[in-house]
Amino acid sequence: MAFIDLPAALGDARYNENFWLFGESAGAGPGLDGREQVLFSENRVWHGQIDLAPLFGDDILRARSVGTRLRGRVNLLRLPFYNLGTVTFDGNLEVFYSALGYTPSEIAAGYSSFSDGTIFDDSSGFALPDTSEPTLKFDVAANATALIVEGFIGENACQGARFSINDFLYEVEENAQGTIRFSPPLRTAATAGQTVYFSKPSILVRLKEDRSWKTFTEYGLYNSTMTVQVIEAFERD
Amino acid sequence: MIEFLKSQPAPQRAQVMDLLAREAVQMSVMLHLDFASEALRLSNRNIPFTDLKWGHTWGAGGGLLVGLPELSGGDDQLAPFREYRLGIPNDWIDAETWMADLVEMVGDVGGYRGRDAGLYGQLFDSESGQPVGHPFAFDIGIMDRMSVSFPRGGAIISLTTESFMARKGVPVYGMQTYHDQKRRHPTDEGLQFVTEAGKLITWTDW
Repeated sequence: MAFIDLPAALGDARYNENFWLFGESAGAGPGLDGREQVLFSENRVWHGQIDLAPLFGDDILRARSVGTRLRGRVNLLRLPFYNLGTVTFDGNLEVFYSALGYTPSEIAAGYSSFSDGTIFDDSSGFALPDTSEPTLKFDVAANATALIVEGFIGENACQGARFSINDFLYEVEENAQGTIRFSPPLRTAATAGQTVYFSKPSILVRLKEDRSWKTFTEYGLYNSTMTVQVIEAFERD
Repeated sequence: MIEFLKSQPAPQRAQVMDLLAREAVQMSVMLHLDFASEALRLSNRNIPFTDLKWGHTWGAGGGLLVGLPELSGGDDQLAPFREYRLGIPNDWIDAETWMADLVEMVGDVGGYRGRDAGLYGQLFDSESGQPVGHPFAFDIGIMDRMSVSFPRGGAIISLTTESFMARKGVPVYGMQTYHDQKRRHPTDEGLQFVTEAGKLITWTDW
């Protein structure tokens, strides 16, 4: 079992982050009164579609190589997410703090002032938010649907934002200052202090079909959008 | 009290009934195969859970279970059997001899034939995702035959289990013939002309 990272250049060429959590239920159809009982189990997995913009130059070869190394459905592909719409840090402090409403002077000074522009007696101000990825405050057992994170980015993640732990992807259902209820239930147990990735979370996926990556080897397709269907993978060793 | 509730822990009976009455019921199906080497406990959940009755962990390797049998019963089902379809563990595929290992496992009937098999259900609280009450049995039996087929790039194991009633020596196809009767009671000639009669004999019940 090998884990193949999607090259950054290809990741940037993605059009969207078309991932959805999907499970199957069973039912015997509606009764005479029109009501129906549905049986379901926690069998939800992430299904995804990668839509890559046209590729040029050595990106074409990189894409082809990913397919060869994936060996159909044998090996796993690690996909990063950009998590647009929630607070994330991509390495650019100016962008990060500007998005949070800090002025260029505050960013340059490294602290913010009171609303009237005054600062503390020791010539400092309020510390700017931490850019590091949040961590787990307590151990969390597998199957859990809530956890507590410490760190600005996690405490302010909005509903619908996604995060990853151990390359498993989760989505925020509710966030009360870092107490997060999420879906799907935690795939594997996690320990206090473990990093919870909100900035570029990742997920390990398997191709939906053996020949899914073949689209990257078809002549002439590089100048059009290429689409690959993937499904969440659970193996980690 | 209905038999189903009797098997549930008293403090959770009301919650079990409440869950069963809902329009959307979270329930998992679990399969226990008591292989001699290691008991296999699977479920149709993708995250393992621990049941409240035995404390067993179910679900590890749930992807192994690729096909469930249709459960049937009734007066015309004298020797019901179930056929389960199992995939093979992924870590086997990495071994060069996995095909030979698989055939060896199927050939070693002592490892499974006559050993316990059970299909259970378990209710879950939809909010917490935690099990509620005890597992309840859909079907209990013993493992019998196992075979393996090798479609391209993989393998499927077919495992037949039989209910305990199937082991009581009931006649083949559920018909009691003259020879069946002679085997059990050598001096009994009661069914001597059943075959010639060519029709189903209903024993008198006065």
